[in-house]
Amino acid sequence: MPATALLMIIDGAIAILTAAMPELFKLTKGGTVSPEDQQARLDKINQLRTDAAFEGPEWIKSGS
Amino acid sequence: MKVLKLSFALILAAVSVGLLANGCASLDPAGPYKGDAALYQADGAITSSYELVHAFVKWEQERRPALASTPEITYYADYCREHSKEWVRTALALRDAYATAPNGDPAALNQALAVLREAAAQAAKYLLAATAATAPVSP
Repeated sequence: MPATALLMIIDGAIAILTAAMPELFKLTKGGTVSPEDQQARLDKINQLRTDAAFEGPEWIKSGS
Repeated sequence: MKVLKLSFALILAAVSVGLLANGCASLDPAGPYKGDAALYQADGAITSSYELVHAFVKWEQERRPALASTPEITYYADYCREHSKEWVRTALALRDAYATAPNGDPAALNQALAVLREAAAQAAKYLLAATAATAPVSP
């Protein structure tokens, strides 16, 4: 496989992962997670408590 | 092909580590987690797994006609659609129990997080494989 194709694959994979999980690639300042970043994570957790997190066309099974 | 497998392995390893620990940084005790790194990491595992599975089912739904030759992808996406809410809600309930009583047995929470991680890893595998399949194979 040519190097350019491999780079495209890795670029594409990283783009997907970055879009899906931005926190995975976020650096912390001085190795400490700020209160704001902690609150952001808590807000995400609380969003998952709502039914809206599992609504939308993407959550409808293919045969439905 | 070996290089491709290696790149998959490296990326999946990064995902796994991210889902497992999501950073080893310390927490500012003034934040809402009050320095509880285990709870922060558990929440990171839950949200990251959800985000990845959500990206996967959305990706599958948008490309379903093009994925007709790989029905296992749609099958797994449907499996995620059927169970994701239950997986996340179970993890949240056990996470809340841990937050209330941090000295309790974390085994059930760890098991719930393992289920989420497995779903996310499988979703990542399909996403990365499809990315590779659409890459050019000749210079």
